[in-house]
Amino acid sequence: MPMGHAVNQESNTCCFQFKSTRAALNELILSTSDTEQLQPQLAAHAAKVPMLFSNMPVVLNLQQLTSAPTLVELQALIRLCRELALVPVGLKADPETSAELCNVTQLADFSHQRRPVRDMEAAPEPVAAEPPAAPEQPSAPAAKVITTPVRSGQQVYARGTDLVILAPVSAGAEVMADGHIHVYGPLRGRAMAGVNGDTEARIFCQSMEAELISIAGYFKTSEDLHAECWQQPIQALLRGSRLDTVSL
Amino acid sequence: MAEIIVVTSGKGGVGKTTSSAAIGTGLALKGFKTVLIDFDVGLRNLDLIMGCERRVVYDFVNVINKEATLNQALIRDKRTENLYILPASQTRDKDALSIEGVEAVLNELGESFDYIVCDSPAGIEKGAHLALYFADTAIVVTNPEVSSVRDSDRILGVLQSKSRKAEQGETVKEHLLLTRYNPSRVDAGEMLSVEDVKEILAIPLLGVIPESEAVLKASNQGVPVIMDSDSDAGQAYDDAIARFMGEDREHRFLNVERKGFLSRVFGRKG
Repeated sequence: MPMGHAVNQESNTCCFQFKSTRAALNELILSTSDTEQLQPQLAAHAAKVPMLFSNMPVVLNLQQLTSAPTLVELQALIRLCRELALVPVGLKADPETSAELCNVTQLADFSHQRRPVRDMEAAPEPVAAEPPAAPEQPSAPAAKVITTPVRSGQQVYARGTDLVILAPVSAGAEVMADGHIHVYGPLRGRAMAGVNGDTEARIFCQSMEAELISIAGYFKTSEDLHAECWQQPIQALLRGSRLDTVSL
Repeated sequence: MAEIIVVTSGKGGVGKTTSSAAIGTGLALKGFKTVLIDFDVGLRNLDLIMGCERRVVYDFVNVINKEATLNQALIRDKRTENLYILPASQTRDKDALSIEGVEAVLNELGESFDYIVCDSPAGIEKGAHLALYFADTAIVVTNPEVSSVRDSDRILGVLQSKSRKAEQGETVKEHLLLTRYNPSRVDAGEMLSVEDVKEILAIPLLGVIPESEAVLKASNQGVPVIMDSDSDAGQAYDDAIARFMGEDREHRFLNVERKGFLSRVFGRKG
């Protein structure tokens, strides 16, 4: 890593700080290493949700493959991901061979992880020789807050976090979040929560007048909403594969 | 430095040019030195509405291309003092406008004028974008009709994301001008009401201009309708200008009017 700009001007000031962070990371779990078979499916998925694929970091999970991929196959997979605007940052593979694969492809090795990422982060960090300059902030990603109206034709996407909107969302506008969506004005456009597949995501709004709402791909159109909860304050959540609206 | 006002709508045929002419004239009548710029290059109309089509020699594009000076291109209005018109070119298209060229013209006008009123073309493409890019204030012209309201919503989004003010982290002042309002059709449920439109667009209401025969007549005669002070539309534009200057005037022409003028002046019983 080039460190050119981090010139140490005074020998006793610390130039860096380690901080635990909880970045949203998605796994791309592959059931084949055949790029020719994979390419059209992945490309079709990318075309459906282009905003999602715009430089989204992913961990390639190869543990479901029947046979361990060769280095050449892995490199082809990485190339394919990059062509579709995904950014492979790590690898989950057979722990026996993963170290070598990661070494060559310069990906981080996630193969030895037994526990969810959260537990790893909670583990005490090695104490730095010098105390950190500032106290650690709680590092859950802050929700994206919008205070001006989201107008027809505009798109707002809260990547890796919740979206809070304190203004109307107009018909023809699209609001999306990986987490929950809160709308404190009338919701007249489209709202998509959990776009990365989080089925726990919910949509809360003061007045439901949406064209469409969707959670993790399960959706309801305004036709259904008209019958259920039109102009009501409601929350929408997934129960199994059913998208329910509940009065607030 | 002049205040730059864009009259815009997204949708075509809602009354942008009629409103621009009325607003420009209204500001000039209040004593402000005002220039009206027609941004609808290729579909020049403002000169017709202002009745100065026979006096167009040079146009906006000539000035941008430095083929003429501003003073050569500006047309002085014969009826209203302090009012000037910068016509669009009829033989060119919107690509003849450039952001640098428009900026240079606006800067030069800004030195001597109080208000610059930009009559935007329809759409959200280059012409409309350039018309609104430098605006301090936007007057969004909307008809009480769903497609017009949606297009206005869209243009409001463009204003707050792609204008110079937005790029500098400031906001463009927004005003709603509802035109072609017909209270009896609203009562019949055939037209959106003022309240409906305000609720959807959520911006302050500058004025409601009733659907009026006076508007067509004024257009064809080349006299801005605000000059016709006997007409309902003319009075409504006059009210709108007064509100724009900060005066508090009640909105008129919102309800079906069955009684005559006198009863309105002296109040109604019951």
